[in-house]
Amino acid sequence: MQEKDTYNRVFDKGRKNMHTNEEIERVVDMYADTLFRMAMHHVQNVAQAQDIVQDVFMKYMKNTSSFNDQEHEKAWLLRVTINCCKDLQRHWWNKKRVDYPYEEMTGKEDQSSTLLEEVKKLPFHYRNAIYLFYYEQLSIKQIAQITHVKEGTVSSWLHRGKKLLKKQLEGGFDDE
Amino acid sequence: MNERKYKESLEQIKASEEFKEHLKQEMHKAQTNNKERQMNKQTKQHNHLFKFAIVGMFMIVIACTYIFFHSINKTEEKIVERIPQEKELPILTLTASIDVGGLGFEGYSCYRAEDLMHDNPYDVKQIHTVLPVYQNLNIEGRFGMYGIKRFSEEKERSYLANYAEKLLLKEYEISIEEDWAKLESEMCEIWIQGKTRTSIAFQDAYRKKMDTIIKEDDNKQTVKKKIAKLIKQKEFSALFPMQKVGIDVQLMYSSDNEQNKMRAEYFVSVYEKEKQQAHSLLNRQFEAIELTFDEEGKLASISIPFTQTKKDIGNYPIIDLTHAKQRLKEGHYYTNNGGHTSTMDKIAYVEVVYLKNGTLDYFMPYYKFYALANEQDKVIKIDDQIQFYIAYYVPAIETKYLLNMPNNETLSTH
Repeated sequence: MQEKDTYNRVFDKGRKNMHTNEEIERVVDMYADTLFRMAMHHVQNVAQAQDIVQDVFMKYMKNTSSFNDQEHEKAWLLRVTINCCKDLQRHWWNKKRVDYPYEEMTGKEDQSSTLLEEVKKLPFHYRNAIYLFYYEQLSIKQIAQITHVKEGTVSSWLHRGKKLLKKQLEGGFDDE
Repeated sequence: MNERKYKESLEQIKASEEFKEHLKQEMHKAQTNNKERQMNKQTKQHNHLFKFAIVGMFMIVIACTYIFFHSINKTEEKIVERIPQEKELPILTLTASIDVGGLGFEGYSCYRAEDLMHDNPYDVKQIHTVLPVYQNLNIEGRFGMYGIKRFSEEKERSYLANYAEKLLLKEYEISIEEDWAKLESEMCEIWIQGKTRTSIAFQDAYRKKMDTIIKEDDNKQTVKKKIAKLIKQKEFSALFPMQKVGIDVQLMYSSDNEQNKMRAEYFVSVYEKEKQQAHSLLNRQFEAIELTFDEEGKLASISIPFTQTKKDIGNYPIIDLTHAKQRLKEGHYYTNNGGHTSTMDKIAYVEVVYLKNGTLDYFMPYYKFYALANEQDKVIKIDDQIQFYIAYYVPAIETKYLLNMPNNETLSTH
């Protein structure tokens, strides 16, 4: 509830490409983990995920459109993150950078499970749909809105993704 | 409970506090830039109003003078002549920070300083006078909520079909979606990325059949020879129409965590070589076709830029290398060094480049200094012998044409 109040207070001022310090603090504290997690779901290392998150926040700073509410804002950020992940896949040849050791940046060892690794092997749209559906708990309708496709397409991504996972692993997800 | 396990493993992934702080700092910097831009815009608007007023008054004076002279002596009609104006170069406003090297952090790892050197056609030690500055016509984020400027669907289809023809593809499928235009075939996928570039990514199955091009013990010269041969092959030759081919090979080492060793990576650019160094530099920077290779040394992708993304603003006088070093020493540079530092005596290589980050207003030349990072042990753990370099970008244009020169920490000599 407190988060919502802060959001409204900050956003009542209107956007027009100017952000208060309070808004910058809020948006990073609120979404940095979510976006980083999503980026890590799609890319191979921490440095790439950090690049993506930074890029998304820079786009946020430049964005002049206003958001209806916090949900809309989150959907926008997720959408831009998905696009940046896709762009990175296409632009990977432009990466000429050194990887930071994972534990150095996060203070943790890489504990990604086998299951997560298997999900990461799925084609982009399948793993994206699986992430949004199972982790972000978005409905098929919401995923369709974020990814700008029909609901049927999302259902099919989920179905095929789960089917592929089932082949890769013994079991896949429970509802399969 | 696989779904639970999936969630649990994702829960463990969090952005570090250090990274969050870095993000906030970058966003504050971006905010300062936005404010500066708005202020400049307002000033420009005021200047425009002022200019309009002056021009209006000037026209009234001319009209009155004309009427006056016309009325007293018709033979003196030609007295009032238009004074020719010299073309003035606009002042370029620099931003407080830019995402150099793409996004986030830029670093180069190699064993010897020589590894950094490559065939930039522009010799920084020679005296040069001017280089062009371009306006970026395709600033990211300004066209649609997420994207960059696109061609019409018809044009995208025709470009893709044209590439299919060049690559001798017989069967393929084209799909035009809201976010991309793509051609898919057994050989490759071709993506048109807005008006920026076309990327050809070769399919895994096709690559399996390909010969290995780059081998582990190759050096830059052997790679160069192999590329010269590769681009003449019938399936690729139509993509490289250059009359005089320039090939630039850049080497970098990246960590191969699976094999716990450093792996050499070659980034190859093919461009049209010209008589004048400046022209070759511009071709190398803006028109070069880039080739990348996979871990087995097979051709992975070809990336071709579109040339319609920039507009010439003018030819600007540039500073020489001594002056550029002075600027660097005084802290007038951009860097994205991830917190690493260096000193003037650790500069290993200098070249002139254009920063082409899609978010910039201008594409202008910079002296790019590669300097050995001060604290090597924190960077790479796989190999003790590997050295780590950071990049500093110093604006190469003369001071009188630049506003808001970047100010950072000065670089010491030791």
